[in-house]
Amino acid sequence: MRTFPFKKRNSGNVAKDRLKLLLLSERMECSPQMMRMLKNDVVHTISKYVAVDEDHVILQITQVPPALSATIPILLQKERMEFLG
Amino acid sequence: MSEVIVITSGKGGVGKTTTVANIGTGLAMLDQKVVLVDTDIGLRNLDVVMGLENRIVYNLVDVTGGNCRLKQALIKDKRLPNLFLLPSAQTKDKTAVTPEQMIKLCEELREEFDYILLDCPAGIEQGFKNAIAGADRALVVTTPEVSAIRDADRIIGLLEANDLRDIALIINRLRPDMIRRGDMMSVEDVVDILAVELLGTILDDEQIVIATNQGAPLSGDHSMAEEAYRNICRRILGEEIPFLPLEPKKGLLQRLFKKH
Repeated sequence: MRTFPFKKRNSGNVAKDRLKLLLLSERMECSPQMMRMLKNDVVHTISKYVAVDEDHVILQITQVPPALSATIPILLQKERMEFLG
Repeated sequence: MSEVIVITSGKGGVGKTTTVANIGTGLAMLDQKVVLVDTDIGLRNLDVVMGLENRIVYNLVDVTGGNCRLKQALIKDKRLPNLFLLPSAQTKDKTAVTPEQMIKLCEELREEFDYILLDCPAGIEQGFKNAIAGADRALVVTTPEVSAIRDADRIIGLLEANDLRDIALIINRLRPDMIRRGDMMSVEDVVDILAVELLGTILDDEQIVIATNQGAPLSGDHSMAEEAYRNICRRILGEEIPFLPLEPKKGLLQRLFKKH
């Protein structure tokens, strides 16, 4: 918990965020650990073909309609050079 | 056409029984013939909330087991002549009733009543399966707390899996002061998370405790909770009632001299 002068995050929002994550995996009958494994596999598969910004991959389930969607940022040539130093 | 509505929540203690008592009373006040069925075998509750605990002779298990006729087990409300209660049994055997028996019972009650409200036990065991077996529609009661919402989500999933797709949400025990501070999830947050139609919102109101103490739901104290229950009843009947803001707009003087 942060103290003054930083504003503390409202507990209502904390509850909402926690629930969203939890219900997501429960609705899929997929544990957070399985989600992580799935994410790793997806990243691994895609990386065979294009360079992926692994730290910014977002894997999520939307409710209506139920769908699994992934946002996988791709590293372009220039960025890749910077990334690899 | 009569309708069988199951009131369920998953988690215990969120206000299912109070909701059944108040919606039942509200519908009866709107000239509907209503029966409340307590399906929580072994832990009967609805009778005390309705103040009818001293009038029980026969119960749900007596009816499904054929020990008495349905009419013998129905208890008439103290105030409203068109409101009845079918109390649960205090037997320990929770398997005393089957889903098939419940479906048959609901069919019988349909002939006599406009609305059949089933008070579902907490949990997802046999009692839950019994309660939802004969229902056309489900009202899921929750409070703006993580545990209750998680269980409500699970219940919604189970209802859909059992082909009960007419599901509406009642959010109970809202505290406008806490929502304003950001320390309680708002109505919008809860609806957003659970993604089901909202039927009504009830404020955390001490009048509810008082009414339950007295065994007299909706006794005309004109509290916010009473108003909310009345609106829910009218929405059940198909009226379009707008959702009011949780807090009535207060004047400057009221804001300066508010109690808490």
